[in-house]
Amino acid sequence: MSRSVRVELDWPRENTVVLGDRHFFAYDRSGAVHVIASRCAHRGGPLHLGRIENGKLRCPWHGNDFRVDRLCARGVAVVQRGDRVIAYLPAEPDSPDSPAAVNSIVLAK
Amino acid sequence: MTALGLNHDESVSQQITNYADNYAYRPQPEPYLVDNPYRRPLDRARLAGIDWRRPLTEDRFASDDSLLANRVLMNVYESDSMFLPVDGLRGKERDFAAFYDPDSRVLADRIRPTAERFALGFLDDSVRVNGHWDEAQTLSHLDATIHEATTGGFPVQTAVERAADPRRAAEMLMVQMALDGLTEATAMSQNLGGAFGPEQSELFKIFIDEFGYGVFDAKHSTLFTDLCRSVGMRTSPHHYWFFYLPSSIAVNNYFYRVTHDRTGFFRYIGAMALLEATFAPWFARLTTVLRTIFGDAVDTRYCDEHAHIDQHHGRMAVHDLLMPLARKHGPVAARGLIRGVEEIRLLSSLADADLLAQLAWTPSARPARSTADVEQAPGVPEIRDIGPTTAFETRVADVDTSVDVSSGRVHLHFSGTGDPLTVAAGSGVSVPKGRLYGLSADEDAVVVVGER
Repeated sequence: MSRSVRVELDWPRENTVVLGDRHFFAYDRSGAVHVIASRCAHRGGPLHLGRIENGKLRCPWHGNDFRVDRLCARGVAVVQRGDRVIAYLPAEPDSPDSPAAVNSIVLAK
Repeated sequence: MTALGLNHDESVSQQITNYADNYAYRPQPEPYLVDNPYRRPLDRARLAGIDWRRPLTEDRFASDDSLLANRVLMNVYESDSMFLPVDGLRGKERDFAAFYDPDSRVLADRIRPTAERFALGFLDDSVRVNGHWDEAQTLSHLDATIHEATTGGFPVQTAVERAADPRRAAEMLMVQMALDGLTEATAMSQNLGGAFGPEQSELFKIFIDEFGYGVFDAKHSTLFTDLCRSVGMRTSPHHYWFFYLPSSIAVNNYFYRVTHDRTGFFRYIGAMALLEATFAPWFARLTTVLRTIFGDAVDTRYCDEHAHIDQHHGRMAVHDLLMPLARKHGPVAARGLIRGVEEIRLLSSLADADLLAQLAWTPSARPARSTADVEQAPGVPEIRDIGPTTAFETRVADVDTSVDVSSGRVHLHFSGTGDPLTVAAGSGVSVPKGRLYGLSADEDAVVVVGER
């Protein structure tokens, strides 16, 4: 069974989770908060700095488009109760156990 | 409105009031329902005032609309189950026929979706479960949730212990527990049929414990009856109908909802598993409190049984039932299971808050408000004539309310047991927003009820 790391966000004050060198960003889709890995499948671009148009998120590096509904479906496991968002991040063998919930610039809104 | 009640229009409200016209749901002047499991008064006039198109929100959970809607839903659900009076059916044949009347059942099916959406629909917004859930995340969240729930203290038991009248408080808690305690595992029984593999047998193992392995004296509901009887409380189902808090009924209704709707199966298992996994310490603490209050006379076998068997049920429900279902049926099942965990957690916390507020309220008489004070208060005061034949009702104060007695004497009922507060002419009593209360009078009296 794979390992996961729990993190709590005080949403929307905290919109980003940092786990080692991996970043995840929170995205509100019709009131449902999704926590999405901010790493483009193409060359690892920062998806949280991409723009969303017509239901697609465009990676700021090479312009690849990703359907937002699919990104949300592949988002990490999230439980949302009001402002409290609990996320379970898939951990890699060398992942630290202490993720940090922070506020950062997220353009993907 | 369609046959399934999926559309909202004026006829929904009409059909719900028609449902409330059932002979079994007629009003009565007495504050208790004596030895008749079919009698469940519904206040037709107040039901007619509900805007069913505007579902309850989390902050309106302890409200009069919530009380009324959840009472309707309880009758809808429970008329699917078998009830017979303990002392036999003679003299109650008409109530029996009315409660199970086929036309009433058809009406129940029509109004159920609307009433469910109204009373419990807020859960869809208040709880969200998103993203991809696999086995690891599901188990991690369960473990964390169970840990939180079992290490956060026992506020209800503590409040009972520290109440101004601990006996009354303990009995009010037992009144709320009676909703499920006297019909225990009825909702669970709805998921025993069908065919869903080894997990069906795991559920059955829990069920047979609840039902005392077919031995009536060991059935959990029998143990609960013995607990109530040992402290002098009545034991027939819904004797204390008027004193169920809306949140207590809602928790009970939730289990019926997610078992009645087969797509709610995973939510049911999640909710049930969380409760089973957290009950053992909760009941152990309750035993201590009951012993302190009632001494050796109280029969705590119901609590002791839960404190023991739910250690097993918690493990069984999580590791033999919930996790295998998550593994076998994938992310959709896992999300449903986690949603059930979160929904019952939210409902339980709302119910705890509701009960804690009710237990903390000890009404006392004070001089009645002056005419000037009444006129300056917001809203339009209501003048009510109350007499010995007036239909008894309890309601939830939707605002901070003042009850001022103009003539006669009235009794203010605020808990399932114990004496009501008697308020004479020239006196009044304040009812905080969200609190359940009822008024009765031995002789004709007039009260002015208005916003404070």
